Parts: sequence; C-alpha cells; structure tokens
Amino acid sequence: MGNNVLGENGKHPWGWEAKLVLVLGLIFAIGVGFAFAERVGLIHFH
Amino acid sequence: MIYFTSEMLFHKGGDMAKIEDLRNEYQQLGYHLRLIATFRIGILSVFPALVGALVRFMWEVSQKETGLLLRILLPFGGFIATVIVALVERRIIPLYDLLIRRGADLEEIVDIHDGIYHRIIRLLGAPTLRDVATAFFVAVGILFLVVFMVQTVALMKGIF
Repeated sequence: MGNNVLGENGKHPWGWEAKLVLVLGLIFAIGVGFAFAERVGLIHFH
Repeated sequence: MIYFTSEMLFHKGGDMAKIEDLRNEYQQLGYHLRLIATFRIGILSVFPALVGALVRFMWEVSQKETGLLLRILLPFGGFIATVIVALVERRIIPLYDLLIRRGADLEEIVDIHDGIYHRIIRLLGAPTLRDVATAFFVAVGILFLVVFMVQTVALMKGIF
C-alpha cells in the first residue's frame, strides 16, 4: 500500500468506500431482481 | 525508467536539445492525462444513464406480452455492455499509472521532487476511485445477471 500502489500491478485491499458501494449495489440488484420476479409473475407479494 | 540523469544534463555538459525534448515530453504527458481523465469522466456520466435507460426498457418489456427472446436478450446485452466498459476501464488505469510514473521520472531528472506527479502519486496512496468503479461495475453486472435469470426462469416455467 502507501506509495507502492502505482507499482506492482496496483494490487491492494479495497477501502471501505468500494466495499460500501459493492454491498449497496448488491442489495439494489437483489431488490431489482425481486421486483422483476414479481412483475413477470414468478413470485407474489401479498 | 530514467533515460537521462540530471548529471548528464546539467553537470556533464548535456545539450539543451535534450532538455527541450524532456520539456516537450512533460507537456505531452499533461495532454494525455487530460484526455484520459476526460474519457473516464465521460464513462462516469454516460454509463449510469445507459444502465438506467436499459433497466427502464427491460421493465416496460417485461410487463407487456413481448417476445421472450427480447426479455432475455436485453439483460444479457446489458451484462455484455457492462463487461466491455469494465474492460476498457481496466485497460485505461495502467496507462494512467504509466503516464504518472513517467511524469515523476521526468521530475526526478530535473530535480523537482515536489512536482505535480509526485503529489499525484502521494494522493493515490489509497486509490479509492478505481476500486469504487470496479465495485460499481460488479454490482451492475450482477443486476443484469439477476434480471436475466429471472426472465430465463420465467421462460422455463412458461410464465408470460
């Protein structure tokens, strides 16, 4: 890490921002999936 | 990679033409960097709009009794587009790093140790933007895959 990031293929652990975006994005994707599933009649929310 | 050292240029009678070459290269680096930055900002503005329009279109299509082929091909096409844009991004980032490193080398040659490229390298000690972009592309790709799976299961179950 540190100044080494631009070298060595730039491999480094993700920061919290990227993890947050990934988690929120996955939640959004699953929500959209459920919305589509209900829309096409796969599942029914009552 | 350092081609000229400051000793070669200044202390051992290096000619002015080389210094002029280095100056031109330093200037060109700035142009290239600006181009790459503009391109990445362009991706940032165009791609989410594309995803939004595509999701909206998929939503419209899945309500009507449209051909199932379109309902499956749309999310699959969105997934392919996401992969392509992510690959372009992965290609651009090493180029960007290369330019930054070359700029820092040029600054070392002319004994500027606190120039803009050195500062950019320090700033990129934690390159959050590229990780956020990767996470965003992964999430969008999974979104299209989820919709693709939903439509495929609907096709297999014969639900229209």
